[in-house]
Amino acid sequence: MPTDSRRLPVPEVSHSPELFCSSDPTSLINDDSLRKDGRNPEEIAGIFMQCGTVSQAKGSSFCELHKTKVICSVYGPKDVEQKEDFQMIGKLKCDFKFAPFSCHKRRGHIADLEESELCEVLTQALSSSVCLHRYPKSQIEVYVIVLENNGSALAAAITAASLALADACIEQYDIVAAASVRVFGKENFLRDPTFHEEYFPHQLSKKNDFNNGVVTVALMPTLNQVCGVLSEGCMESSVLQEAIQTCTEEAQNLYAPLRKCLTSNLGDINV
Amino acid sequence: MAKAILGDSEKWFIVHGVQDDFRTDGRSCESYRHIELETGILSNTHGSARIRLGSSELLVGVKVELGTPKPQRINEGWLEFHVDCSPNAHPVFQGRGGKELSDNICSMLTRVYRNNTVMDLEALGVIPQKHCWVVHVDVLILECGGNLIDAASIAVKASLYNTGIPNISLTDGDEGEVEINLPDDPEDVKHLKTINCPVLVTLSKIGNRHIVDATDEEECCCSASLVMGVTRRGHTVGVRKMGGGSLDPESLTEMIDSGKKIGRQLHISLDKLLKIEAGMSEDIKQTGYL
Repeated sequence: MPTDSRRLPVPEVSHSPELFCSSDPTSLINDDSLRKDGRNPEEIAGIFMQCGTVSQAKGSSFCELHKTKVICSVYGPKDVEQKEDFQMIGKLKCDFKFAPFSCHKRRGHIADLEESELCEVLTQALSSSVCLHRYPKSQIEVYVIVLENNGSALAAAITAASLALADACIEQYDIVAAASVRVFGKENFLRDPTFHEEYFPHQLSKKNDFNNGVVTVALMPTLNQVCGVLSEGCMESSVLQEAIQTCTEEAQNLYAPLRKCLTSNLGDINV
Repeated sequence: MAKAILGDSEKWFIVHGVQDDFRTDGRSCESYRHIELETGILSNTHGSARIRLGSSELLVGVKVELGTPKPQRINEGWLEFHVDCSPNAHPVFQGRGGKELSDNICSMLTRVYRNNTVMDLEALGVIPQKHCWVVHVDVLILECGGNLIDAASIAVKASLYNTGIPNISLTDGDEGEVEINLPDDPEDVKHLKTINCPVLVTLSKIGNRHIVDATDEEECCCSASLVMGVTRRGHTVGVRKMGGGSLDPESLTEMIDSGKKIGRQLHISLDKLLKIEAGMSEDIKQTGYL
């Protein structure tokens, strides 16, 4: 991806020093069947959510899922930018970006193909829940930035975006909760994978690469409707279906904390 | 994205037809349109394929170049995908108009080819850490008739099957550097192993049922679709939900099962066709491109 050379006088090609270290071949689960950060395979990460973090935005939220930190701001409904786009259904415009310092490897300032793909998945997941027919001739802008990526960034982003939309009083059919699962082997699922537990094909040899992957599912809990699925890695279809089932259960469990976060935010307003 | 404009009654006609397993062109929910595939048609490429799926037409060209291996994988080469929407297909694709569609197809292709089981990337290595083969796969969309993702993946597999990488020889040159020599004979090539290459199957949800190979009009009526990469053995290599609607978890499971079955059938027909075409004699006169 060509960098914007007019903005930054940096060398064309530079590598992170970590690439030159030998890769760590330790397995994901040690002998006590615990993961690297001390959790059980079925144990979910601690989640922290707060609304109204960005005071200038119509609605905003901050979500922290183990160490992954995501901020989301919502602006709108406002007039559509190009006057030719006159439509009776509102437009949802999302922007998803990893901050350059957020991942292990430095990311560029301009969104690359991976970020635009995740942005599309985020837009499509939110489009199923926002009542766009209530906002004709308008657009709603959702800006998500990942401050620190320690795994499950897309899941945290979708949850934070839906929370921010609720904080902005944008009508939705239901709040969207997302969860992800790392699959390795037929029976092993790790819920809420950290960055080291995520799926990187270059760290695995060809023999171990079967039934290995990451699955992210976005769900509307009360309606029980799936609004987003993204998976990577070669898996048997039964393993994939089981992984989707696991993610769905986990997203259902997120409903109670999300509801509590929104209602506690209302309690602060002096009536 | 170029979308056909349909009136409400036309949409209802399509939706009701699908409920009865009967589509506007008489197909059932799980059958593909007529596919025409031809490989080895462009002389300036190392591999090429042309596919016509119903009224969608795509052209794929594969060119291999020598490049530097990535730091994490010093023994291997890699594949680069690029999708281009030509304004021939629809005037809205002029300039950056087709960027969303081409990004979607490109990211889906990159996603399914990204794992180790699909292609033997070590066969693309030349000199560890110094040189490797970079396979540039360029897809050109010439006509939009619906279901471009599936057509692109079939054409990519066919063109990779057809790709011949020159058999280079390495000799010691001066100053300890290794020299790379190209063979004189242009037919002296080695082929890639594409037996595990996946095919993308798009299942579109219309009403309560799902269909495969949606035409332009059917794509207008569908609220959500699931794109899955399926290998010859029926394993899923990458799944993504597209579209602004939502899916029931049970119908998601049904769609995955359907996609696996359809993907396997598609692979069987495609492999058979590619073998037949490769075995066809060179004496058959080619009477032009179309």
